[in-house]
Amino acid sequence: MKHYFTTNGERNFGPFTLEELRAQSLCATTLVWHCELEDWTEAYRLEELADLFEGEVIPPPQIPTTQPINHTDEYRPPMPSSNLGWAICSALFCCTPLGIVAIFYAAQVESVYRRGQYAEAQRLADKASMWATVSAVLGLIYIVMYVLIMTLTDLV
Amino acid sequence: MTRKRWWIGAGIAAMLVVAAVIYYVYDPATMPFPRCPFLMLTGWQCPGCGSQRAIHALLHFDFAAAWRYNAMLVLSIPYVVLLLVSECLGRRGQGRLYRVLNSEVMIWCYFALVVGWWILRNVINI
Ligand SMILES: [Zn+2]
Repeated sequence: MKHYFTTNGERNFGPFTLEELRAQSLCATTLVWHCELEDWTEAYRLEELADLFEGEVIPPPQIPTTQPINHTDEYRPPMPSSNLGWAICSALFCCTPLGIVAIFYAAQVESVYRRGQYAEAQRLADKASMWATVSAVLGLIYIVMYVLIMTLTDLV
Repeated sequence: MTRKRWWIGAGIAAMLVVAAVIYYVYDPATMPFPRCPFLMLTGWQCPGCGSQRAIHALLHFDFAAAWRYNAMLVLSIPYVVLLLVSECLGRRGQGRLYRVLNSEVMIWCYFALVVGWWILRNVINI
């Protein structure tokens, strides 16, 4: 004797005997399963239930609501510049090791972008640029101060 | 936007020319050019130490001296120039040169090279 189950998509009901199942007010599209079925099957497709829905108009299957959202390719922003050239220059010219931090961030831009984390890639690129700029500004301030102090001490 | 970029490019080019003239005329090895703050504070050389003298040497086509002052700088200049060229060629996904130069592997290698250079020059004093 077969045991039948029905489902509403969230909860399963059963087991029922065929008589119990037929006694329920099944819809043609109610999903039914028993151990000989591979998957949930609409009630009207089952031989032993088909007569219940004779003459009924079978509604078309529902369009699946969980369509894969595939916007990523359409909305892919261009890869942010890694600002590597800027980072190298600041590392080698400014005599503050902060430029190395800039290279460290520049190195990660590509892989993060490839993983589709576009905002994060942009953030890393901005960080690279920021550290290079900090390094350059500090270097510039240092040079100006240095020249000022040298000229002042010369005057004194 | 492109106009703004053009002005930034022109500004950088002008500063480079001024810097080149200064570094061509004055020799940082003999003139009281600013000393490296990192070196003064810690006693260790930073990756960029010697780059001013190296540039002076390069502007006088003395590559051997430049190499002695800062080998990393000499190695890096072609890379930076290529980066600049690739940036101009466009990087809207098609620029193959840009992709290679900015690839993760490339930058990490360069990063390791700089850090290695930084350590090495303080260990064997170059
Ligand atoms: Zn230094």
